[in-house]
Amino acid sequence: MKIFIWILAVFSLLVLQNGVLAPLHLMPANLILVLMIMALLFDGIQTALIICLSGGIMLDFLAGANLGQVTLALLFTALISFTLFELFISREPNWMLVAVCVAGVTGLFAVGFALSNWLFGSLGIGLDLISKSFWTNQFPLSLIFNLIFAYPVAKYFSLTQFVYAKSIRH
Amino acid sequence: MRFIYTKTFARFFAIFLIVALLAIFDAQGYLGYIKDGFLRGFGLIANRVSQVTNIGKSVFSTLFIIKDLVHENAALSQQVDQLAFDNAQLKSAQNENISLRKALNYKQQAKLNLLPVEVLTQDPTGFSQTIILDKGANAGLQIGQAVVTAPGVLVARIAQVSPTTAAAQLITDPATVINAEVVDSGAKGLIRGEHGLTLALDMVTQNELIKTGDSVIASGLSGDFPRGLLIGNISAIRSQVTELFQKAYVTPAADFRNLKFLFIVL
Repeated sequence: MKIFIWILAVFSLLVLQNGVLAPLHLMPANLILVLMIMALLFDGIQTALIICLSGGIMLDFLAGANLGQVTLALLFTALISFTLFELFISREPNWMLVAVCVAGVTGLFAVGFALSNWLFGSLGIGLDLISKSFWTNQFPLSLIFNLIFAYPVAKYFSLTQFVYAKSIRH
Repeated sequence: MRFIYTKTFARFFAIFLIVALLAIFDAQGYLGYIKDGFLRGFGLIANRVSQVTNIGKSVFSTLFIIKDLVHENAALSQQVDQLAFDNAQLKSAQNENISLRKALNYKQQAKLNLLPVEVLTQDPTGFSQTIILDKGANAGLQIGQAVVTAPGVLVARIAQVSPTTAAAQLITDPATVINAEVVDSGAKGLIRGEHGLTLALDMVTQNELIKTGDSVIASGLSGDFPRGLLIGNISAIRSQVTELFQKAYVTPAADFRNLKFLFIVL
């Protein structure tokens, strides 16, 4: 049940991103990554992995890339972030902490994405999605929009948790 | 070191194996129908949502720009008259061109064979400048075919083909390189995407005379795109005497934010 609800939540978030943000030209935000960060901070690794796998596969389909290019980058980010959060982050209700985590993990994801792109490129499969302008344009814009949408995504995350809690109570 | 014996690591490793298996299946083409089904379903729902967003957007934007509409209307009316006159002259020149080619026994320039397609969805995160089209290999699409809008404006190139859908890489993608020609001067160069923002016309020799406003078309030299497809207009030029080549920035002729109905050049 948990897996189904979170897959639906990820799908709905992508529909909202494509249907609302894209027409308003706010495209560089990576809401799936922000949702994964919220899961790592406020829930646990299991939820984060569900988001990572389902969101990554959907993003791979939408980007026209070979399956696994974005998913591996998200998985790499989740693993490193989980380790760092366990070692250094105290779970307290502090928005500054959330902002720092979002900014740091966005940078980590950019590195993971570059590594995944290199791996798939060296295997001769998938599209080459990294260029010089990825670091000069895409990454800074992604950082800004991820920070802007951190609060709405956090609310969306708690709404999904509420829906899940209601569903298991029935 | 103890981390590798934990449940968490086991979960990560299991997911990594699943992803690796799926990547192999996808590379072999076994997931084509699943991909197509997902993209169609997603595109259908996302399009409904974006229609609602666009309605709201147009209501708000109309309120802000209503006073400029009168001036814009007058300017556009004048432009339509000028374009109608230019069109008539071009038709006459075209007929003359055909007659002269016939007289010289030149091969007739075949009109483009176009297949209409619809854009299902666009990558929402901007990872790739890619659009997903609603036709695939079953309709005769192949990798490398050009994608245009109705008046012959170049938009994208088909990068991946599934049985019933295709992924097309926009010309604003940095990986796309097009042999181009400036219409007025005949200067040759290479068009490269600048990650969704603009296009750059590179490798134009210093002795070529190019100016802002010049139209840039596909030259058809390497056979990747048919000759004559409009790419855009030069908006700025960067030229230094110490460099071998000059560089120009080209505003794309197509509106990449509102791609809906396109054509494949077969």
